Amino acid sequence: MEDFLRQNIVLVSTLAKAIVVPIAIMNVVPFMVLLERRGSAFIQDRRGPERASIFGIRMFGLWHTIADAMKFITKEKVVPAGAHPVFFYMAPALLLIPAIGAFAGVPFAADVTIAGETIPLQVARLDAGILYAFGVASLGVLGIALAGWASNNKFSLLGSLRSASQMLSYEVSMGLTIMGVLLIYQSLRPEVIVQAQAGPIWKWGIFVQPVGAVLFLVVGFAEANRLPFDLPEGDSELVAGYHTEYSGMKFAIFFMSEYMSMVTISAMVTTLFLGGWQIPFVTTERLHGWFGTDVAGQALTALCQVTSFAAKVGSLLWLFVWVRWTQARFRFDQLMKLGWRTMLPLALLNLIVTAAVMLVIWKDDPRFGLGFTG
Amino acid sequence: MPDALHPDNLPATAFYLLAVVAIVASILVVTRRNPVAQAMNLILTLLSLAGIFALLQAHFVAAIQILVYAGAILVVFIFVIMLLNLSDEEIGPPRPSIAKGLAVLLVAAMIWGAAVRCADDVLAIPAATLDPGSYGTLASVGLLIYRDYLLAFELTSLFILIGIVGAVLLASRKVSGGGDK
Repeated sequence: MEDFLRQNIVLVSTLAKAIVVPIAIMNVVPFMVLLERRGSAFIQDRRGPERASIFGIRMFGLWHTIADAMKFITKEKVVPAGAHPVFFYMAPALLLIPAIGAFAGVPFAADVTIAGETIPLQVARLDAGILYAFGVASLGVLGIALAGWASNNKFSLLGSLRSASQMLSYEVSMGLTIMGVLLIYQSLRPEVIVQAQAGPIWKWGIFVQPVGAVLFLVVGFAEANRLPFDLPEGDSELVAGYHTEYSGMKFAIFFMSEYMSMVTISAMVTTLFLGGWQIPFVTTERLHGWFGTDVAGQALTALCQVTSFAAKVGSLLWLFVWVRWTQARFRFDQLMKLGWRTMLPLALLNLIVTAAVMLVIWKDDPRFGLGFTG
Repeated sequence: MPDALHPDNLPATAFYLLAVVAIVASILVVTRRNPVAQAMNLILTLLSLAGIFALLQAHFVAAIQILVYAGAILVVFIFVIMLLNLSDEEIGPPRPSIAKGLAVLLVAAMIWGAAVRCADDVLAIPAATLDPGSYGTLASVGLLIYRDYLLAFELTSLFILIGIVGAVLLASRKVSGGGDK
């Protein structure tokens, strides 16, 4: 067994990453639900759900989410009359898969070297990793659109139409807001971008590209369909929008996808603007100096970096909860106006200014000898 | 095929799987009656093509294929289809005709002819001529677009601009004889 592990370390680690990471993201969901309920209670000066107890142990209300899961699984399966027989079942999966899949490109610690093999702590190392993540994340809107159409319900259809137009409008800005940061770090590889933010905290994307960071965060809220951008399921107008007709586990999948896309977007913000797994002022080399470079030392280094990454993602997730319980929902025309008349011009301006500054500062840099001048 | 899962054969196995999915889905795009089913099959076709691009080391093209076609253009298609929301009665039963049958035969003959003529040429391209270090990467594609084929690229953007202006013009035209302004 040990020999097999040693010989096939790359294969085994790849399989392990591909299994552990999605499970880890899924297990963020119950804690997010807990955070949402207790967080909203905290903001509204209530106590929140905390009474469920097993043998007197309350776990701060965590049992409520387990009770929720059991309720979802055991509920009667209701399929509305006239619903499409295939697409009605397919839609939740079409939303869930992009929410998990987009995370594959995100690195969560520095490379580890075991038995002479370098193992990236990142599920998929791709040449255009950022593009891959955005591409996969952009497929999520198909699930929402299909759910609304397949339910055979006017409210669902209206919700999914809103969602499709909202996500398309904001996707344009999403691509443009990250251009500045990509220009500065000269790469579309998430691991290279994180490496470029090593060391002092002012090398982080949020300090180099403050406008881009704020714009991307706002667009991220819109893409995750969270308040103040949760028009696809605006309860006061559309019952529950695209998932009105869904109940039981099928609804739970929509519910989980929303939280998982929040995790994915927080991870992207962390990677691009908050230094990824980097600990401020403490580089990987310094951690190796403290802990050594043997297997135990590397494991400790990776653990510190994963903790740093998780802390940043966790803070952003709390920001999602915080904003949800303090902001009111936009009207649809306000949403569209903000997307096309504010976000898009600002993102374009940010890109042009960044490109101009880069051209002036780095015009003599040999890396830019791309043959434009001869 | 006992060797289909051998590490050396995995790319070929993946290619044949993706190719079969792409061909079957693209046939379904034409034969399905329901517009949403057609659009979903078109997405499946585009995703399998993206997989084939990735197998050919063109990761950038694969990512753009998903981002632009499957993620944006097809969403607009589905948006329009849902706005129309045609019922089965409005779509009507399939209407076979001699012209359609002829078209199917002609297309089949074209594909067959192309396959027979091109098979030898395609198989003759040696895989070793592609440098795996730079081929299909963002940098090499960027250099091709913005240095070698800059004029063609800029002309394309001009055409897209003309298309957008045309769409805006059509959308802003007042409908004559209509009740409301």
